[in-house]
Amino acid sequence: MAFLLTWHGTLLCRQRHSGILLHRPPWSLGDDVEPLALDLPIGTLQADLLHHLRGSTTADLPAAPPGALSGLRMERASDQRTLTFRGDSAFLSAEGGGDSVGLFRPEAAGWESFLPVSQADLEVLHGITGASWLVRSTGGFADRPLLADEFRLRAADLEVDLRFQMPLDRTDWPSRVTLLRDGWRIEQICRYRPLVYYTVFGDLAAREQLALSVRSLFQVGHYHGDVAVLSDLAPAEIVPFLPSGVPGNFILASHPARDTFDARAARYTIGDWSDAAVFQPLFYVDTATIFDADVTPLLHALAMSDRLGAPAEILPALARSLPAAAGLLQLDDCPPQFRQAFDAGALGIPNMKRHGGPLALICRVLANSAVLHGRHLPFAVQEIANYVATRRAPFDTGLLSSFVRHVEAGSDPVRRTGLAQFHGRAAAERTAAMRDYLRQIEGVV
Amino acid sequence: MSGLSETWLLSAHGTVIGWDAAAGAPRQHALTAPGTHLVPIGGPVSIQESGLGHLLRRDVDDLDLTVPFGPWPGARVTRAGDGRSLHLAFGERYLTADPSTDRVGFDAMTAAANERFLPLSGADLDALRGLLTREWLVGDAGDLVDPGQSAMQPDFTLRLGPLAVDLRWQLPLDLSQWPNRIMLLRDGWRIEPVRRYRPLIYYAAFGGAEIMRQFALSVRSLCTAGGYDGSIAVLTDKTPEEIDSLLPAGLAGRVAVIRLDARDRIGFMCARYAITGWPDAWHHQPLLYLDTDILFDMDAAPLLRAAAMSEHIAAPAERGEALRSSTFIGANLLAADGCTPGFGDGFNSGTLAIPSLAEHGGTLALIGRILTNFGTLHGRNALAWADQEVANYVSYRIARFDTTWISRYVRLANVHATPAGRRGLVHFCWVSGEQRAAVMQNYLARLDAMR
Repeated sequence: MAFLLTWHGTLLCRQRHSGILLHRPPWSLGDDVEPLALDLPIGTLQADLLHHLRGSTTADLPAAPPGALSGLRMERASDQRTLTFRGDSAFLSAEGGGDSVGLFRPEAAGWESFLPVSQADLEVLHGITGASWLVRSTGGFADRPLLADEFRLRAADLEVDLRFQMPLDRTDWPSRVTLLRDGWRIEQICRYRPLVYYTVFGDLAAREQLALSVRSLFQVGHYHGDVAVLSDLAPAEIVPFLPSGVPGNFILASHPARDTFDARAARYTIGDWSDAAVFQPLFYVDTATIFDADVTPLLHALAMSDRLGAPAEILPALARSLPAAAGLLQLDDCPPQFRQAFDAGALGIPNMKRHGGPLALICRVLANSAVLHGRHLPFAVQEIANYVATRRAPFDTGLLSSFVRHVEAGSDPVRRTGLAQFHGRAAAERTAAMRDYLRQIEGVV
Repeated sequence: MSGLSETWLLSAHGTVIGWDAAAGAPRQHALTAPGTHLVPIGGPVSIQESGLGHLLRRDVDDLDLTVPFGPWPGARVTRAGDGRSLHLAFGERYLTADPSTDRVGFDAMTAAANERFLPLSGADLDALRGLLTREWLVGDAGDLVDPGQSAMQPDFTLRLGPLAVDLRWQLPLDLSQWPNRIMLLRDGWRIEPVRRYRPLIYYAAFGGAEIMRQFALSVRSLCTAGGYDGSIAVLTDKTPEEIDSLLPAGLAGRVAVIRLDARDRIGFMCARYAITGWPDAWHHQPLLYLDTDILFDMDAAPLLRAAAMSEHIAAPAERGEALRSSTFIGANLLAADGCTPGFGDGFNSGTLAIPSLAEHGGTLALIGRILTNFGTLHGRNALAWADQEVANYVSYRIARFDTTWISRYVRLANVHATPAGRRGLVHFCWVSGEQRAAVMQNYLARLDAMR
């Protein structure tokens, strides 16, 4: 089954009551029309490698189309990708400046060319044009890319000819799509729908820190997106700490925890929440984090990254650092060589489709270890996460390290990098330091 | 999360509960016993997962429910002391599976080893059977384990050759990469990758008698010096009868013939990427593509195991052919796309080790797409080394082919190559086309003389 996309980026349709052919924008056809479907295998209509091997795109193309276009002669256009439909004396044409379709011209040019697309191709095109994307080669941001004239898809500074993309590559859909500029230059667009998430358990200080962090995220970080909070608290206990009137939704997920082990492990369970799959990227931060610069560059970089990311641990390299898995690696006879450990106080997840597996493995090893060896091992959670990462999915410590700074009370906000993380003091003191730091930044900003 | 209605029971000694129609009673069966009718134990409540979510919810130990239907309606289900397995009981009588007979029943007055059961989902059951009945490469060392070395053992132990894992710490199995790969946890935490081993070696052989003669010599070397007895396929314009007529008597029927039309040299070179269109290829791991002018001169198994263990498609480095300057390996495409590849060499696409199509089929399809588009837009002969140029370009831009380990196995050779320097594969790409079959024949004769 194939549908026909016109030169204008519209879809060839048929009026339901009259059978008259029209062309309409594919996602707003109107109730009076239905897309015209050619009841032929899409493989016979779209040119592929097998055609290239044969050196011909016409060998298996039936001349007589079935259904509403029967009576016309179907031929491959000179671009070897689109189809023309010839009547007795003229070609089927999708006219510009309106939605009319008819046999108007004796010569076939752009308006007389129709690109065969499958239902799956249409769904991907719909997904592309209905969402925000980043062009990987340039970082260009495209909110709802457009179907344009001449079979073009336009996303920020990237323009590709759809005739040379069909069938669309769905290998990494819906996170990423590989497109071919000029028919061969590899470009990728990455979905951008960020989620920043926190875990908040127990005491009041954590909620006060959450309030400061979220305030900085929207006010200083200029964040436009959703925020999730995983917590053992009732929504009524958290909502008062969240700002209103911000450009994003708050999602409160119930998440029990009985001790520090659970609280630290919770960040890795985000994949248990089925809606996590719709976001790219997902970014976990400890509540003791103040956003001190625009967070957009960091989130863009994460969305386009191939790896999970976390800032490098400031303690010694992995080979010598007990908190960062040296013990487990030694027990498993794995030399970490010169690899740096990470500190999971910030955790960047490009998407769950590709990276949910390593996170699930961390969860599995955490759960097993807690039962087998107890819950009170020093640094258990971070050590296990570093162990799994080292063995199976090395984290990128470079990307986030350039954005994350560990700060002390009284730190100078002039040296801001994006995220300031407050560690190593009592909770109330930390909250006060965060409040003071945020006040200074808001003064500067 | 699976409900009890989809849950089967695995005993501590590795049997599952089945239904004996003649006796009208449940019996225990070996996991891999053919033709058994297994009985789900019935009930609407999830009991299988013991993951981190359950740990945080504190419900690992708190299980206490009653089975509403199935073979034992009314039976009480509680968690065993290990936090993973289950007890089923009517009052004080526990379900027990006697390892010395096939009988199961509520005969035990106390809950001990034989009264523990693990809940299994249908997917886990199928995967366990797959682990026990297929060939796998186990652990980072990639030890080859065949079904004869695999078994269920006491205390929920799954043994795969040298690896023994306790299934209580694996369920539900991580099936995100099944059936190609699965991660198991030795001692509950040590990560042990297990990879499927079902190799396919394939060729693209089209056109004249010279190419077909090379193909026949290569297959012969594969099955003699290469010691290979696995699957072989050829993408070709010839019939199965024509292919069989080329092969030594013992090899007739060994090669799966996939018919394709290819018009010319460009079509012949690009055909290797059409393997993604053959559905059977998706069931193999790894796949090894070979040009017809390649001979095996040593055992193929080490190379194939390395290919199955690899994270990337692998191809041998083309020494001295720099990506920044050699048109032979795509320098023109890289330059035209603004890439600055530095000092690296490209690779020869005459040998392609593909771990699996599930992971890498998209890359092969992308190469095919670019070849097709480039041919349409710039002319069929615009790229003199068509597929090799595009494969190097795609590798450099996004796919990162591995040229390290495989280069140790492949020798790019001229007329002077002798078996004395053999590594596994010898590729006579530096021999003129009309001489190649004769040189290969001669090489094989010398190799035979050494054996």
